[in-house]
Amino acid sequence: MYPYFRSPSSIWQRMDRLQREMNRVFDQALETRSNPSGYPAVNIYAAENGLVLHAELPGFQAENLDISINGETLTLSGERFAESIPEEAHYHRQERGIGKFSRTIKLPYTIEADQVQAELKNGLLTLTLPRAKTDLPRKIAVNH
Amino acid sequence: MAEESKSIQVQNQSLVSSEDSERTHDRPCFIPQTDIYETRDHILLNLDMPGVKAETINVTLEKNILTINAEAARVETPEGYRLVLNEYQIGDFERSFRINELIDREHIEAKYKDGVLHLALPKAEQAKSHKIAVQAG
Repeated sequence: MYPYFRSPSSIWQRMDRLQREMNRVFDQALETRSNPSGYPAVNIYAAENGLVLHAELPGFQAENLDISINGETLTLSGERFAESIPEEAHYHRQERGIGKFSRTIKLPYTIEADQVQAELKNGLLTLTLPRAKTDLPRKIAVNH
Repeated sequence: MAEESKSIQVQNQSLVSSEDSERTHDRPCFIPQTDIYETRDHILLNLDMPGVKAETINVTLEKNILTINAEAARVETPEGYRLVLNEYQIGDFERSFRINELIDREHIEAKYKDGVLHLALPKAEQAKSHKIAVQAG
């Protein structure tokens, strides 16, 4: 009978673990689907030695974008201007937003700010953000 | 002002639902945000379509339906990287408009710059407003 003695508690433990796992999965799914964080939406890729960030910024020129990095805080700001249209013209539809935006993102790493590369092509911004040397994980040798 | 322009757009350019046809590949398809304005000689459209391959942009005007579609350029996950924050999806763009003016089909101009497609549809000669001289007598 001894082996059974422990089994009820381990079932509850397993249930509990399952529940937590489910919660985590749902939280993650909701987090990625909604876009509450503001404009522009970004996608971030990470590897051990750096990050790559993509943002969709159609109609922006490089000179109207401002990218600043302070440690692990990235601030993207910019302005999109209204097109100058002839005086006699009139709009049927105006869906594209104009004006200023600013967004601050906390990155998972400290970034080597002077080695950041930015490219704006076809309305797609790509930032290459190398991780600061001081932030890289260090392997600690264990003395025997 | 927003209300007013709404009523105009319903008459002039109603959106053809892209659900009329089904897509054969599983990438999402977005409706690009669009500005449309009209001058004396042209109807002009600006569509936000970031990150598409310029050579896949297709603009057709069949009867009075203007259809624009474009394929998203694939963004590969850089080697050794994984996606840690995913706020937007990459997808194609498609949208149709009904154009009530007569358009000079031969001279439609399209330009893709900074992720925005600019279209200029010149009005056909007979569609331009003419002043009709009324003869008295």
